[in-house]
Amino acid sequence: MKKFLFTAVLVTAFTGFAHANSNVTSLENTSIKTDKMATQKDLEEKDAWFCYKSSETTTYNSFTDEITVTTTYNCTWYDLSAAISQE
Amino acid sequence: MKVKYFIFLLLLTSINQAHSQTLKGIITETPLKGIGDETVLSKKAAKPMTFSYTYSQNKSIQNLISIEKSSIDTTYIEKYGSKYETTSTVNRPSSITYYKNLDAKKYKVLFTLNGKDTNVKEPLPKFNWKLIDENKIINGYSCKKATTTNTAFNANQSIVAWYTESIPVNDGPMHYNGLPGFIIQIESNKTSIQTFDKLVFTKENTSIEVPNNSAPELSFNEYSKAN
Repeated sequence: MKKFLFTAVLVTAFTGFAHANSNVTSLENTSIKTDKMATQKDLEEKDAWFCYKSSETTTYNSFTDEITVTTTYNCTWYDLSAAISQE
Repeated sequence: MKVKYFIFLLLLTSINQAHSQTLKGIITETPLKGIGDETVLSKKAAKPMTFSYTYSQNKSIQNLISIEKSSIDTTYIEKYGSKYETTSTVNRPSSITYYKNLDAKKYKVLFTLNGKDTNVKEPLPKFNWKLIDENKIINGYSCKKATTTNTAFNANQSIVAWYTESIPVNDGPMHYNGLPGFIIQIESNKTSIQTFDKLVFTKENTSIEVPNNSAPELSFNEYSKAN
Protein backbone atom coordinates (compact mmCIF):
# COMPACT_ATOMS: atom_id res chain seq x y z
CA MET A 1 0.00 0.00 0.00
CA LYS A 2 2.84 2.34 0.98
CA LYS A 3 4.57 1.50 -2.29
CA PHE A 4 1.40 2.28 -4.24
CA LEU A 5 0.94 5.68 -2.48
CA PHE A 6 4.59 6.56 -3.08
CA THR A 7 4.26 5.66 -6.75
CA ALA A 8 1.06 7.69 -7.01
CA VAL A 9 2.68 10.79 -5.41
CA LEU A 10 5.74 10.38 -7.62
CA VAL A 11 3.66 10.09 -10.78
CA THR A 12 1.54 13.13 -9.79
CA ALA A 13 4.63 15.16 -8.98
CA PHE A 14 6.33 14.14 -12.23
CA THR A 15 3.23 15.04 -14.24
CA GLY A 16 3.05 18.42 -12.46
CA PHE A 17 6.73 19.06 -13.19
CA ALA A 18 6.27 18.03 -16.75
CA HIS A 19 3.31 20.39 -17.10
CA ALA A 20 5.21 23.21 -15.46
CA ASN A 21 8.17 22.55 -17.73
CA SER A 22 5.98 22.58 -20.81
CA ASN A 23 4.69 26.00 -19.73
CA VAL A 24 8.22 27.25 -19.34
CA THR A 25 9.09 25.93 -22.79
CA SER A 26 6.13 27.63 -24.35
CA LEU A 27 7.03 30.88 -22.56
CA GLU A 28 10.56 30.58 -23.87
CA ASN A 29 9.23 29.92 -27.35
CA THR A 30 7.00 32.98 -27.08
CA SER A 31 9.91 35.13 -25.98
CA ILE A 32 12.03 33.80 -28.87
CA LYS A 33 9.21 34.59 -31.29
CA THR A 34 8.83 38.06 -29.80
CA ASP A 35 12.57 38.64 -30.18
CA LYS A 36 12.44 37.45 -33.79
CA MET A 37 9.51 39.79 -34.51
CA ALA A 38 11.35 42.65 -32.89
CA THR A 39 14.39 41.93 -35.08
CA GLN A 40 12.22 41.87 -38.18
CA LYS A 41 10.59 45.12 -37.07
CA ASP A 42 14.01 46.69 -36.59
CA LEU A 43 14.95 45.58 -40.09
CA GLU A 44 11.74 46.98 -41.54
CA GLU A 45 12.36 50.27 -39.78
CA LYS A 46 15.89 50.48 -41.10
CA ASP A 47 15.10 49.56 -44.73
CA ALA A 48 11.85 50.13 -46.54
CA TRP A 49 10.23 49.92 -49.94
CA PHE A 50 7.97 52.86 -50.60
CA CYS A 51 5.57 52.29 -53.49
CA TYR A 52 3.18 54.88 -54.89
CA LYS A 53 0.81 55.21 -57.84
CA SER A 54 2.69 57.40 -60.30
CA SER A 55 -0.02 57.49 -62.97
CA GLU A 56 -3.59 56.44 -63.64
CA THR A 57 -5.01 56.73 -67.16
CA THR A 58 -8.66 56.10 -67.95
CA THR A 59 -9.65 55.94 -71.61
CA TYR A 60 -13.21 55.78 -72.94
CA ASN A 61 -13.78 53.36 -75.82
CA SER A 62 -16.41 54.88 -78.12
CA PHE A 63 -16.99 51.56 -79.92
CA THR A 64 -17.79 49.46 -76.88
CA ASP A 65 -18.73 52.04 -74.24
CA GLU A 66 -16.04 50.65 -71.88
CA ILE A 67 -13.53 52.60 -69.81
CA THR A 68 -10.07 51.06 -69.55
CA VAL A 69 -8.02 51.94 -66.47
CA THR A 70 -4.22 51.66 -66.69
CA THR A 71 -2.12 52.28 -63.57
CA THR A 72 1.64 52.52 -63.04
CA TYR A 73 3.32 52.12 -59.66
CA ASN A 74 6.84 53.28 -58.84
CA CYS A 75 8.80 51.84 -55.91
CA THR A 76 11.82 53.33 -54.13
CA TRP A 77 14.16 51.43 -51.76
CA TYR A 78 15.00 53.38 -48.64
CA ASP A 79 17.97 52.60 -46.33
CA LEU A 80 16.92 54.32 -43.11
CA SER A 81 19.70 52.89 -40.88
CA ALA A 82 21.74 56.11 -41.05
CA ALA A 83 18.74 58.18 -40.07
CA ILE A 84 17.87 55.78 -37.19
CA SER A 85 21.47 55.65 -35.79
CA GLN A 86 21.54 59.45 -35.65
CA GLU A 87 18.46 59.52 -33.39
CA MET B 1 -67.92 56.33 -106.15
CA LYS B 2 -67.00 59.67 -104.61
CA VAL B 3 -67.39 58.20 -101.11
CA LYS B 4 -65.14 55.25 -101.98
CA TYR B 5 -62.55 57.62 -103.47
CA PHE B 6 -62.69 59.75 -100.29
CA ILE B 7 -62.22 56.71 -98.04
CA PHE B 8 -59.29 55.55 -100.20
CA LEU B 9 -57.65 58.98 -99.93
CA LEU B 10 -58.23 59.01 -96.16
CA LEU B 11 -56.62 55.57 -95.79
CA LEU B 12 -53.69 56.60 -97.95
CA THR B 13 -53.13 59.72 -95.85
CA SER B 14 -53.31 57.81 -92.58
CA ILE B 15 -50.86 55.15 -93.84
CA ASN B 16 -48.51 57.90 -95.01
CA GLN B 17 -48.77 59.62 -91.62
CA ALA B 18 -48.04 56.37 -89.78
CA HIS B 19 -44.81 56.02 -91.74
CA SER B 20 -43.77 59.65 -91.83
CA GLN B 21 -42.68 60.42 -88.35
CA THR B 22 -39.61 61.15 -86.31
CA LEU B 23 -38.65 59.76 -82.93
CA LYS B 24 -36.42 62.02 -80.86
CA GLY B 25 -34.90 61.25 -77.49
CA ILE B 26 -32.24 61.93 -74.91
CA ILE B 27 -29.89 59.15 -73.73
CA THR B 28 -27.91 59.22 -70.48
CA GLU B 29 -24.90 56.95 -70.34
CA THR B 30 -23.62 56.25 -66.82
CA PRO B 31 -20.26 54.51 -66.38
CA LEU B 32 -20.43 52.05 -63.44
CA LYS B 33 -16.94 50.57 -63.36
CA GLY B 34 -13.78 50.33 -65.38
CA ILE B 35 -11.91 47.40 -66.90
CA GLY B 36 -8.17 46.75 -66.79
CA ASP B 37 -5.87 47.43 -63.85
CA GLU B 38 -8.63 48.86 -61.65
CA THR B 39 -12.40 48.81 -61.70
CA VAL B 40 -13.06 51.80 -59.45
CA LEU B 41 -13.46 54.95 -61.55
CA SER B 42 -12.47 58.46 -60.53
CA LYS B 43 -15.23 61.08 -60.26
CA LYS B 44 -14.23 62.57 -63.61
CA ALA B 45 -14.18 59.20 -65.37
CA ALA B 46 -17.53 58.18 -63.84
CA LYS B 47 -19.31 61.37 -64.95
CA PRO B 48 -22.39 60.48 -67.04
CA MET B 49 -22.54 61.54 -70.71
CA THR B 50 -25.65 62.77 -72.52
CA PHE B 51 -26.60 62.05 -76.13
CA SER B 52 -29.34 63.24 -78.47
CA TYR B 53 -31.08 60.60 -80.58
CA THR B 54 -33.11 60.97 -83.80
CA TYR B 55 -34.83 58.22 -85.77
CA SER B 56 -36.61 58.73 -89.08
CA GLN B 57 -37.19 56.64 -92.22
CA ASN B 58 -35.22 53.66 -90.90
CA LYS B 59 -32.12 55.70 -90.15
CA SER B 60 -30.95 56.89 -86.76
CA ILE B 61 -28.26 59.18 -85.42
CA GLN B 62 -26.95 59.56 -81.87
CA ASN B 63 -24.80 62.58 -80.98
CA LEU B 64 -22.89 63.44 -77.81
CA ILE B 65 -24.37 66.68 -76.48
CA SER B 66 -22.74 66.99 -73.05
CA ILE B 67 -19.49 68.99 -73.07
CA GLU B 68 -16.64 66.56 -72.52
CA LYS B 69 -12.87 66.98 -72.59
CA SER B 70 -9.79 65.10 -71.51
CA SER B 71 -7.99 66.20 -68.36
CA ILE B 72 -4.70 65.64 -66.53
CA ASP B 73 -4.57 66.22 -62.76
CA THR B 74 -1.32 66.14 -60.80
CA THR B 75 -1.10 65.50 -57.06
CA TYR B 76 1.94 65.12 -54.80
CA ILE B 77 2.67 62.67 -51.99
CA GLU B 78 5.29 63.46 -49.33
CA LYS B 79 7.22 60.54 -47.81
CA TYR B 80 10.61 60.39 -46.01
CA GLY B 81 11.21 64.03 -46.91
CA SER B 82 10.73 63.54 -50.67
CA LYS B 83 7.88 64.61 -52.95
CA TYR B 84 6.32 62.14 -55.40
CA GLU B 85 4.15 63.11 -58.38
CA THR B 86 0.96 61.24 -59.27
CA THR B 87 -0.82 62.05 -62.53
CA SER B 88 -4.43 61.14 -63.24
CA THR B 89 -5.37 61.30 -66.93
CA VAL B 90 -8.96 60.99 -68.12
CA ASN B 91 -9.35 60.58 -71.90
CA ARG B 92 -12.89 61.42 -73.00
CA PRO B 93 -13.99 62.18 -76.55
CA SER B 94 -15.19 65.73 -77.21
CA SER B 95 -17.60 64.46 -79.90
CA ILE B 96 -19.21 61.10 -80.65
CA THR B 97 -21.70 60.17 -83.38
CA TYR B 98 -23.35 56.80 -83.99
CA TYR B 99 -25.19 56.45 -87.31
CA LYS B 100 -27.36 53.54 -88.44
CA ASN B 101 -29.03 52.86 -91.76
CA LEU B 102 -31.31 49.94 -90.89
CA ASP B 103 -32.35 49.34 -94.53
CA ALA B 104 -28.82 49.31 -95.93
CA LYS B 105 -27.48 47.58 -92.75
CA LYS B 106 -24.72 50.18 -92.41
CA TYR B 107 -23.23 51.56 -89.20
CA LYS B 108 -20.83 54.42 -88.58
CA VAL B 109 -18.92 55.56 -85.48
CA LEU B 110 -17.26 58.97 -85.52
CA PHE B 111 -15.47 60.60 -82.62
CA THR B 112 -12.87 63.18 -81.69
CA LEU B 113 -10.42 62.22 -78.96
CA ASN B 114 -7.70 64.68 -77.88
CA GLY B 115 -8.22 66.67 -81.08
CA LYS B 116 -7.92 63.66 -83.40
CA ASP B 117 -10.91 62.65 -85.58
CA THR B 118 -11.87 59.02 -86.18
CA ASN B 119 -14.37 57.83 -88.81
CA VAL B 120 -15.23 54.12 -88.91
CA LYS B 121 -17.77 52.44 -91.20
CA GLU B 122 -18.91 48.84 -90.65
CA PRO B 123 -21.82 46.57 -91.55
CA LEU B 124 -24.54 46.95 -88.91
CA PRO B 125 -23.86 44.30 -86.21
CA LYS B 126 -26.46 41.53 -85.86
CA PHE B 127 -27.41 40.24 -82.42
CA ASN B 128 -28.66 36.85 -81.37
CA TRP B 129 -31.21 38.08 -78.82
CA LYS B 130 -32.68 35.81 -76.17
CA LEU B 131 -36.09 37.05 -75.04
CA ILE B 132 -36.60 36.73 -71.27
CA ASP B 133 -39.94 36.61 -69.48
CA GLU B 134 -39.28 39.63 -67.24
CA ASN B 135 -40.90 43.05 -67.22
CA LYS B 136 -39.94 46.42 -65.82
CA ILE B 137 -41.23 49.98 -66.11
CA ILE B 138 -38.52 52.40 -67.24
CA ASN B 139 -39.38 56.10 -67.49
CA GLY B 140 -43.07 55.23 -67.91
CA TYR B 141 -42.52 52.58 -70.61
CA SER B 142 -43.45 48.97 -69.95
CA CYS B 143 -40.30 47.09 -70.98
CA LYS B 144 -39.40 43.47 -71.64
CA LYS B 145 -35.99 41.94 -71.04
CA ALA B 146 -33.65 40.47 -73.65
CA THR B 147 -30.05 39.34 -73.39
CA THR B 148 -27.21 38.84 -75.83
CA THR B 149 -23.42 38.89 -76.12
CA ASN B 150 -21.83 41.80 -77.92
CA THR B 151 -18.79 40.64 -79.88
CA ALA B 152 -18.69 43.60 -82.28
CA PHE B 153 -15.54 45.77 -82.23
CA ASN B 154 -13.45 43.11 -80.45
CA ALA B 155 -15.76 43.26 -77.42
CA ASN B 156 -17.03 40.39 -75.32
CA GLN B 157 -19.81 41.96 -73.31
CA SER B 158 -22.86 40.44 -71.68
CA ILE B 159 -25.72 42.72 -72.65
CA VAL B 160 -29.10 43.12 -71.00
CA ALA B 161 -31.58 45.13 -73.05
CA TRP B 162 -34.98 46.43 -71.93
CA TYR B 163 -37.27 47.12 -74.90
CA THR B 164 -40.79 48.37 -75.26
CA GLU B 165 -43.32 47.07 -77.78
CA SER B 166 -45.29 50.32 -77.46
CA ILE B 167 -42.77 52.02 -79.78
CA PRO B 168 -42.73 50.13 -83.11
CA VAL B 169 -39.13 50.99 -83.99
CA ASN B 170 -36.55 48.16 -83.99
CA ASP B 171 -33.68 50.35 -82.89
CA GLY B 172 -31.82 51.44 -79.75
CA PRO B 173 -28.66 53.14 -78.50
CA MET B 174 -25.29 52.78 -80.26
CA HIS B 175 -25.24 49.71 -82.57
CA TYR B 176 -27.93 47.81 -80.66
CA ASN B 177 -30.95 46.86 -82.79
CA GLY B 178 -33.11 43.97 -83.93
CA LEU B 179 -35.52 43.52 -81.01
CA PRO B 180 -39.32 43.44 -81.51
CA GLY B 181 -39.62 46.96 -80.12
CA PHE B 182 -37.58 49.99 -79.13
CA ILE B 183 -34.62 49.50 -76.76
CA ILE B 184 -35.11 51.88 -73.81
CA GLN B 185 -32.14 50.68 -71.75
CA ILE B 186 -28.86 48.82 -72.32
CA GLU B 187 -26.87 47.37 -69.42
CA SER B 188 -23.42 46.50 -70.67
CA ASN B 189 -21.37 43.94 -68.68
CA LYS B 190 -22.32 45.80 -65.48
CA THR B 191 -19.75 48.43 -66.57
CA SER B 192 -22.20 51.00 -67.93
CA ILE B 193 -25.87 51.70 -68.38
CA GLN B 194 -27.56 53.69 -71.16
CA THR B 195 -31.12 54.85 -70.70
CA PHE B 196 -33.55 56.89 -72.77
CA ASP B 197 -34.74 59.63 -70.41
CA LYS B 198 -37.13 61.34 -72.83
CA LEU B 199 -38.78 60.23 -76.06
CA VAL B 200 -40.98 62.34 -78.32
CA PHE B 201 -42.74 61.46 -81.60
CA THR B 202 -43.26 64.15 -84.21
CA LYS B 203 -45.36 63.67 -87.35
CA GLU B 204 -42.97 65.03 -89.93
CA ASN B 205 -39.95 63.23 -91.33
CA THR B 206 -36.42 64.31 -90.53
CA SER B 207 -33.67 64.01 -93.07
CA ILE B 208 -30.72 62.13 -91.55
CA GLU B 209 -27.54 62.55 -93.57
CA VAL B 210 -24.51 60.24 -93.43
CA PRO B 211 -22.11 61.94 -90.97
CA ASN B 212 -18.45 62.60 -91.75
CA ASN B 213 -15.52 64.42 -90.21
CA SER B 214 -11.96 65.32 -91.21
CA ALA B 215 -10.71 61.71 -90.86
CA PRO B 216 -10.70 59.25 -93.77
CA GLU B 217 -13.40 56.58 -93.59
CA LEU B 218 -11.87 53.32 -92.33
CA SER B 219 -13.11 49.84 -91.52
CA PHE B 220 -12.70 48.80 -87.89
CA ASN B 221 -9.84 46.46 -88.87
CA GLU B 222 -8.03 49.30 -90.64
CA TYR B 223 -8.60 51.55 -87.62
CA SER B 224 -7.31 48.85 -85.21
CA LYS B 225 -4.14 48.33 -87.26
CA ALA B 226 -3.48 52.10 -87.37
CA ASN B 227 -3.93 52.53 -83.58
